[in-house]
Amino acid sequence: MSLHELWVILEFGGRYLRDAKDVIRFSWIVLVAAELVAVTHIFQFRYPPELLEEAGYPDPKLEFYPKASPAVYVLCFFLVMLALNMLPVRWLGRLEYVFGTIKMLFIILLIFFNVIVHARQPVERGAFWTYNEPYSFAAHNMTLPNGEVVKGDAGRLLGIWEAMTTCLFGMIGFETIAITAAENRDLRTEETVKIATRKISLRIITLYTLATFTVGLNVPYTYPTIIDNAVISFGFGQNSAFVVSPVLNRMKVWPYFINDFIIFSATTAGANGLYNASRTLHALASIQDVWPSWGPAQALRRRLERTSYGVPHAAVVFSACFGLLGFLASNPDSQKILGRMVRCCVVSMMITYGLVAASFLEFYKT
Amino acid sequence: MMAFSQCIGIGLFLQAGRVIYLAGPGLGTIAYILTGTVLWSSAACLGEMTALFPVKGPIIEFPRRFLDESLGYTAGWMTW
Repeated sequence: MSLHELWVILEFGGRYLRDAKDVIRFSWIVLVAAELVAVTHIFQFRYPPELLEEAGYPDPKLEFYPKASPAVYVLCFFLVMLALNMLPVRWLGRLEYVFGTIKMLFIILLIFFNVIVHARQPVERGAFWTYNEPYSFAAHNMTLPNGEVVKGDAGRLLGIWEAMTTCLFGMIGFETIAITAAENRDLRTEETVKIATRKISLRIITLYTLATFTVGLNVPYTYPTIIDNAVISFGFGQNSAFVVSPVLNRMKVWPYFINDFIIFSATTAGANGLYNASRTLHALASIQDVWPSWGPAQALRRRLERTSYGVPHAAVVFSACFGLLGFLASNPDSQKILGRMVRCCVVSMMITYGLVAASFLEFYKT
Repeated sequence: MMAFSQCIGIGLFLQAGRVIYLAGPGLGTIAYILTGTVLWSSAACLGEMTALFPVKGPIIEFPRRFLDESLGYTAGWMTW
């Protein structure tokens, strides 16, 4: 497995060097900014009218496009994330527990929704129609960003490889358990952390796989809005397969509902990313050697080390400052910027995972 | 549950379509399983070590202790 990880790093590293040369590699703070940009993307939800007509959708237009500038949303949601992190840690934990439960229920709902829609067939198409001709189990070919098409088995391998690197972003965050371990109450009594890691991994893998499988039953892989040939970019609301699925089946309220839920999940994930960033910074601040011996840097370190009510407020604010990168969303090219941020985050996270795996090997030897 | 809430951000909702487009519906499902095993292995490594030594900032502490000081600091700054 570690070998595989190494390969992913190499692949990512190469791509990263080509695409985003000048971005510094940080992970969680970039993730906070990325979630903020994503929120504005979801507020710019506009389904192409010609595709609606083609699908026989009852309404002529499907859009959720308030007129305000994206910067306004970034500011609002930034304040929400900051406020959540300023709460005493016990309250934050409780809230996150509730949010996590809601999200899990929602994904289960989506899975059931897609299965039922596929079984009931509001538009008659036949069972497993996305797997039959002219579509298939696997993509036939893979279009490279420069327009060339790789066909056959090589294309299929390339396709699954690229898909896996895309999946990685969705799964980052397993190690939050270890970060929170220091604030865990019953760490000593049982092997809580080990059991929790196994549970979380199994839950995430099962839910993600089932969600992708069921949505794949309802959306053909050549559907125009989910096609994306750019190397790194990140779509708007209409590019989500979960929104396409009810549209193709002529369901009315569902696209809005799903779209709005993505806003909620992006906000809470951003707040959680800020939590991780501040705790990591706090842990860094307690080691003197990590910082330059220059006077002001050491003064900053001592400030960051302080906590009140169990929350390192200075670290939270300092990390949140980088969330202001989210204002990049007001740029018309925000799709590419978001893609770049996400890649940057994934690359640094993969390197960290690699280091963790390597240190586990050393630990296992001793 | 907190880690669960962290994982489910925009990654699944906005990118499932791209995965399906790149690999096709069947292979896309398999891609998710494969990626899951990779991340599971590293999370399990970290979990195992944290269960033995519960420290503050495990991502910094473990590479520092078992590999090299500089690597630990690198990991710390990268995670931030």
